[in-house]
Amino acid sequence: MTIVRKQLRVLCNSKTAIIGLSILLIIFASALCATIDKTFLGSRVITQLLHDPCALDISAVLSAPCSNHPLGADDMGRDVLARIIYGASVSIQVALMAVVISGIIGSILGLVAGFYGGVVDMIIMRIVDILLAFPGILLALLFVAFVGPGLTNVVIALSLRSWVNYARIIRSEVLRLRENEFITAARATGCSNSRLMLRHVLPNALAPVIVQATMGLGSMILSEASLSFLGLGVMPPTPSWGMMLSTGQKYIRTAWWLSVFPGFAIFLTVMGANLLGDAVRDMFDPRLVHKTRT
Amino acid sequence: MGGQLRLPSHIFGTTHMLSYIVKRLLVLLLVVFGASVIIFVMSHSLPGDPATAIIGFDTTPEQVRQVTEKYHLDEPMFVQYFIWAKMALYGDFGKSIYYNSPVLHLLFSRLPVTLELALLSMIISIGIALPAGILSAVKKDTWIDNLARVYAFVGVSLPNFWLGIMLMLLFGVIWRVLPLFGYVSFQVNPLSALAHLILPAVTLGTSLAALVTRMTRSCLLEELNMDYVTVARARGLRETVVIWKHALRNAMIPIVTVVGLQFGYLLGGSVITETIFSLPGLGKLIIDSIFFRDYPVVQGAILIYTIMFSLVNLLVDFSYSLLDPRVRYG
Repeated sequence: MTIVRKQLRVLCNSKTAIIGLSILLIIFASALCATIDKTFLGSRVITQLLHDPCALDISAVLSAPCSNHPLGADDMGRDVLARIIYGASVSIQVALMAVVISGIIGSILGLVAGFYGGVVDMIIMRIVDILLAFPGILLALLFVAFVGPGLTNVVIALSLRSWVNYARIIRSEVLRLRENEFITAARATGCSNSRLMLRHVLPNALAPVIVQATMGLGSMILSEASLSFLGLGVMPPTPSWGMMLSTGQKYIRTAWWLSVFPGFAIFLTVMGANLLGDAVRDMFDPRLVHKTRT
Repeated sequence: MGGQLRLPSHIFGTTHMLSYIVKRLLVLLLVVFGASVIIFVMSHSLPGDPATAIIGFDTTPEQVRQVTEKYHLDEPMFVQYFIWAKMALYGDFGKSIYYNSPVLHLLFSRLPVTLELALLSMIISIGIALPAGILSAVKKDTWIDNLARVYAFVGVSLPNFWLGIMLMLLFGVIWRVLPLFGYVSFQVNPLSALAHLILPAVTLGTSLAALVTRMTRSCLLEELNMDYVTVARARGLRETVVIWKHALRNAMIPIVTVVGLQFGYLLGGSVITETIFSLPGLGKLIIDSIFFRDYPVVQGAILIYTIMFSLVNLLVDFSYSLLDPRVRYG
């Protein structure tokens, strides 16, 4: 049995992977449907099924969960369920874009640092050290505070610090790989440095990056929600889970549903990403892979 | 010589350790310098005229000229940076535009709240995590282990701002046993202070507790599978002695390291927790200052955060050899 098939078997046999993947698939499908509905159909589908997530309805202000509004309505009479579904598209979009951007930048810089070593490595790793000096979301907060909120700025803000995790991971993999015989052999055949890096080193160093990306998805969703909660994420009237939760806190004494449901949506998505991340980590763990029956 | 401080020979007895300390201190200086450059450059990337950004739009040309002169805004950016950095070195981060008081004074008046919150969170999380992690490892594959593992997993996935609001809903709105918002100093009324801080501390400490539970369980399980534990058991030692005196002692080294490193993250996490519970700490000050466009405060507060975070990490790094005599620095 090939190593890839063994790895896939570990993933398929894992209950956590199945649960995590199922949760994420449901959220991703909602996000995708919401994006298509909003972009191409002018929110017609969601309006027919539930309500327009941005439409104000004075008669429904702070309505408790009922048959018309299954998860209640907010302070402007907007349907909470419809806004949670639309909010998924913002959270998933931001998280995915931030993971992809930071993954690409981090992988390239980590690859270059590990492969060339010396001054290049020193400069890149000192930049990494400097960015790591900002705890939590402080750097993202600083960026959004000065450059301004909005979807694109939030993505940049979140990518600013998270690429360093990928750079550190891939650098250590490259340091290990570059001493291997197959690299020496490829070099002896006259491979250029760029070909060596892209064709031989990078594909062999990608496994921990995939693990980090899966795990990073959850933390990106959390960070985006944190920024939105603080009022520094995407701008109203675009629904976002963090902003909904922030509104919910204002009405905590009178409308519990405003804080319970959006928060649960964030929790569920982050848990799904973490469950899948754990399973993907196990998938690349050689001890577990070799335990599977051949 | 009488009264001379004697340290264990393995700690500072070698030149390796001293050169390591010097090297790390130099890196720390570089990191703080780099962080200050980033903070400065970002704060000067505001769209439009920086003087207007500082004092607002409703101003006279004379006021704009005064601010431009005061903050040297007509100088090139690197000159402005060195003027700012030089003043910051002397503890002068400028004056708050909103609070109209020196930034450093403002920062130090808010710092104790943040430190109290971080310390209490750490105490709570260790109080939960250590027993949970030890029980989970000792009672492996029982319902206790399963419960601890579920807690460890859920804890890291819980958004702390949601947890905070849920705790407010339960303890402040439904059961009405704890206050929803606000802060009371420990010097004024310790009991009331604790009542005000307990929910924020649990909010902030839950994810740390989950992480430490996970870490304690895996480290202790690893130690319990070691040969020396089998030998200790074969010698007829009681299980409690094997666990507490042998396995746990060795398992503590990585646990203490993780706890130390996470202290810095607690400082970062305090920004959201303080905002939710309206605690007048550094984190809340940053958020308020962002909305008041009080940029000297934002600059100063974030720089203080990065310095504290780097110092904590450095101390944890140095503590390796204190905790584990086998650690040597090259």
